Amino acid sequence: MNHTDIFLPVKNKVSHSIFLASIAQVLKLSIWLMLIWVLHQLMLDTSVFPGLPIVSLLVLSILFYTLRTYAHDKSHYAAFELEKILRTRLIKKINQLPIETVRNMGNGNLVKTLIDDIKELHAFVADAPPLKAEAFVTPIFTLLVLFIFNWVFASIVFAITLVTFLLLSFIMKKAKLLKESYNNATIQINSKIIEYIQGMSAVRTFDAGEGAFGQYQKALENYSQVVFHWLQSMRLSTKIARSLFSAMPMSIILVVGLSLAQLNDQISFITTFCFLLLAIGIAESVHPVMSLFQILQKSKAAIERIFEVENLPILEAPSNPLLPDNNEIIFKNVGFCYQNSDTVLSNINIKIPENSFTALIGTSGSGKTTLTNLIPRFLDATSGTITLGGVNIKEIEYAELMSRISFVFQDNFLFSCSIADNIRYGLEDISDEDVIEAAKKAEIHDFILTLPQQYNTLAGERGQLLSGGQKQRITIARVFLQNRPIVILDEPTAFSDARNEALLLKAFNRLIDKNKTVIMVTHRLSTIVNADQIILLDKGMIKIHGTHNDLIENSSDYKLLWQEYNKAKDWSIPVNNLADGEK
Amino acid sequence: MKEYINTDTRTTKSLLKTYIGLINAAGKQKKILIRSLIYTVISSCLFGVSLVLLYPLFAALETKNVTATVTHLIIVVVLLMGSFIFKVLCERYDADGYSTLAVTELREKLGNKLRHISLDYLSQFRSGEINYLMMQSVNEAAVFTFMLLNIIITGVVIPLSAAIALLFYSWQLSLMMLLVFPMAIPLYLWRRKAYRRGFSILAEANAKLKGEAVEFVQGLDVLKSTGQTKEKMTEFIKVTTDVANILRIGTKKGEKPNLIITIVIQVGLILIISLGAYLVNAGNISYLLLASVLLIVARSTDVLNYFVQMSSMLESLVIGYEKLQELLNAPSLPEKKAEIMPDHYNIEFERVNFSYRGQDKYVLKDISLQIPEKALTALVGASGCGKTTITKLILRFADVKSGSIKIGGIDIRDMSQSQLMSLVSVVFQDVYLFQDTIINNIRMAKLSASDEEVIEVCKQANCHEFIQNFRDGYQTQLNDIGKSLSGGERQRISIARAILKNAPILILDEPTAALDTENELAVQKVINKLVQGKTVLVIAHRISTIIGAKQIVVIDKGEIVESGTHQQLLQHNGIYKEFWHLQQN
Repeated sequence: MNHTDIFLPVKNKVSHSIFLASIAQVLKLSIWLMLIWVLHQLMLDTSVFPGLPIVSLLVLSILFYTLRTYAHDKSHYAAFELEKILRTRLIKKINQLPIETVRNMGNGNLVKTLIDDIKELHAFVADAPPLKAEAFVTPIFTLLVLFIFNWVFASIVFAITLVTFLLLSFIMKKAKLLKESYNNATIQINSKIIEYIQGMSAVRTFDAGEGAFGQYQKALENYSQVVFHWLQSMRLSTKIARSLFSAMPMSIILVVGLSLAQLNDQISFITTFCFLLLAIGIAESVHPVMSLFQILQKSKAAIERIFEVENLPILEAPSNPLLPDNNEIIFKNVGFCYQNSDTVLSNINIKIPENSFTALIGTSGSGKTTLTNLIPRFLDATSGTITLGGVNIKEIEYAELMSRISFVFQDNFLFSCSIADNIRYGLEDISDEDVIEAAKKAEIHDFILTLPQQYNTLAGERGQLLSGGQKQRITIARVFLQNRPIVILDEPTAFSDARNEALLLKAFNRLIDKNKTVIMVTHRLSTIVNADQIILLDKGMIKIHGTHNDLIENSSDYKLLWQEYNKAKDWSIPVNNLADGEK
Repeated sequence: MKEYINTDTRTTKSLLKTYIGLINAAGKQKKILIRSLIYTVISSCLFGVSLVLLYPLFAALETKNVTATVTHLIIVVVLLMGSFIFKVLCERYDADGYSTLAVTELREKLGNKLRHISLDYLSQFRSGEINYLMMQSVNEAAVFTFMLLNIIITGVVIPLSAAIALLFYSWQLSLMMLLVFPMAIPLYLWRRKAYRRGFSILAEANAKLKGEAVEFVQGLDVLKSTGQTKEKMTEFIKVTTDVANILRIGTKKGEKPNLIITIVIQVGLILIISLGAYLVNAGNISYLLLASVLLIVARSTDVLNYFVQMSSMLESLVIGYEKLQELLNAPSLPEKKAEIMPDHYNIEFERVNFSYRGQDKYVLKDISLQIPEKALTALVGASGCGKTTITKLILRFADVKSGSIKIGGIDIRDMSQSQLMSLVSVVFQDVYLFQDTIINNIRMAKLSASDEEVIEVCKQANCHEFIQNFRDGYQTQLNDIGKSLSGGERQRISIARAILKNAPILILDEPTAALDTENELAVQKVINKLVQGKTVLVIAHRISTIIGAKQIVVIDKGEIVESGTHQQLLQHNGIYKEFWHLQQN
């Protein structure tokens, strides 16, 4: 992989900038030549004002700075545009990824690439090209001019430059090794910091956070000791490397050499002056790129991550999309496992007839949620097939599949727009009345009226006034508006309070419609007594399967579950013997 | 672009304060930082002076005076070598790792701060913002500051010292230089304000961009099912276009002023050269002096321009650093160490009022409440009624606005945080697990606990069995499997922590709600043991779990509306009765 490939969309602009920056450097050299001309004229005749050289100096200066600013801005514009292009490209890519990939990557990682990594490119695209041009063009042209003046000293300057470069690349190589360990240490410490911050409210309840802070402190100190020692171990070479391209080393050698040569009449004063003026400029022109070195390393790492996301496989669209003609769902020998991980579902065979009510039960981790995720292809089955209306769901166009399924998950995401807009999200021409009607059916209307701006209250990250149950009811209101033939419900295990729970169940019951295919994951056996079929999952397999009455009669497992359910429901914290513990 | 204007970050602070603040960020390493910066000053001074002293060298060379040449050559070389040595020395702060120490110190300070400010204050930060402050801003403040200050000092000191040294040879040229170089300063101040405005707008736009990205990625499944991916994508692309435009406009706007600054400086330099040429014409100075002046001019051009460029970067650092300062200066919860610890553990709320930071509305109004020891008290109410706030106040996540909370007659504000926490165990609904081994995650509640002790409490909490089933048992690292622990397993780990801590007061936030039936029965058994002999405060969602409570307190909109035993409350026709009937169906 080539890092510079990232430039491709703005290649022309970047090369343009490099070209302009190179010309600017030639102009800069000519400014210095003008300075020499000024001096030379005065040496020839001290009584004549060097008008022409000074005017040319002025003109060239203005040209140079204009051109350089232009080159600098040009590459910056290119960088800004590239950010935009890459983000657009990447977000389209993310949109095509299977939901599974997005979940595996982690939301945080994708957002980081989309925002931060692309930002990291800036130095690589905006600052580096003109500075690199400068570091490259200036030495070459300067040396060329110097060779014309005096080839002996020019050779010396060339040799010094070469030696400095070699020395530098040697030190850099050493530094690169260090850089890697340093980066690793940095990654580690960063995750420690994040954990400390995120766990803040938790750690405070143990011992006012002393233990956690102690650990955090220890991690910080470890890190700083390790890094400190590394840096100490090569401090001299680092410092010398950083100072080599300052003006001093070259100046010292040249001042001595030139003075002795002039004293022995081997060169004239103007040559001495020329070399002092121009040769030192070589060092100066390389210096800026050096200071960019660290930032560029970071940019390169960011580019690699961007390419990584771009190379992820996308969800394949069917070549000959088919239309299902009914809404019957059939699982045939379906299995699922996450990459390099244990099997989550195996050998699942279910027939979910159109307009039936199917309940999924089982302990947490038994695969219920995974199973529901296979239907809208948030996950793809790793073996077997799932058909909808007789058509393999992979043969159905994704948007078509989506348009048939509504789902309410445990954790429902609301967008940062008004509650009304969240309810009618994705639907066109829905009047406020319809929204209110749906909210009433979802038992959320009364609650919305208590909010400061009622239906216009903002939801989303900053509007955290909504509990999980309330968000879920808002999602249910949307489902009423969507009115799609298949409804998938994943009932939450935790309710925030008694009223919420009752309302939610009421809303759920309204969704279980005779004209819809309903699939419901639940923990509350009392809600599914009327289901057309109950499926009990255990360790990813269907253990038993039938109606409530069937199962109560024929399955001891179910019977036990039903008894336990009722027992747990009636549990209360023992209070009579609270004080007895002391005895 | 109006939507991105944030008045908080738009105004610039005084220059001196800013620089002093940045230097103070180095903490204990401040001395080394200042020393390093002084070395930079010395190095630049020596270099500037050496440029002027080229003149006597040139003069000696011109007259072929060997002794004078050698003397002056030695002087110049010594100055240059000195300059080089100090340059090497000045890299010490960064290259020898002192900046790393400064970073660590600053992070330690911040980390310590985080655990002393009220969590209420902490919650005002956007998610990720604190992370950014502790990682990026700290790094910038401690490391880049040095780099930038170095460049800025070089840009100022070289021309300045040369100008002063020139006084010995030509007061006119020296004066001229002293007039020209400071011109950069008012120009810089003028630009500084604009940079500030630009960065402020950019920061807002970037925050918006991040928000959009988070929404898109997190809400992707909903977007797909509602068929709105395109719309949301368009929105994201609009904001990213806005960001690109803000950047472009910022650069565009800066283009002319920057050009003007550089050209003004350049014209100033040319004026110096012209004056020099004129003085040579007038026979006032030798062209050899002009030669050294030309060298000064050539060397100053680059550093001056660099200085102009870098000052914009400095401004963006300053914005980050100011936020950092704000956090460091946030008020800590006042903390006293109690002389005597309570010997009984009833909790008493006396006319407590509380409102969250920056909000006028009281979430708790005039709460007076006795929570007796060795008994069960339950809090009941709709979500958002304030029952969780009551438990948070006992834990001192924030302080009451008025009134007081006492444990065993001692005001909790008269105890240190660790004293208070030693009295209370908590089992929350969402259990935070650290990226550490399981055993360490449990030991967190009592650092001195032996392995045997931990295993013993795990057995009591019914988590020994599933922990044993992991390949590495208690040594299993939670970062790989943290997510695959079920709600019930996490909950039981949390209960194990509470048992291990064995504090006299126990706060339970509906501990079994998140569990499936099998887990629920297991957890219920544990809780039966856990509550023995303790002051227990339960936030109840399912009323059936607390019908035996000594006291049930019903909260509505921040006020206590009913309290009593289950039977007493059923006599009232109040909220409690309504809840009870809702749940019975």
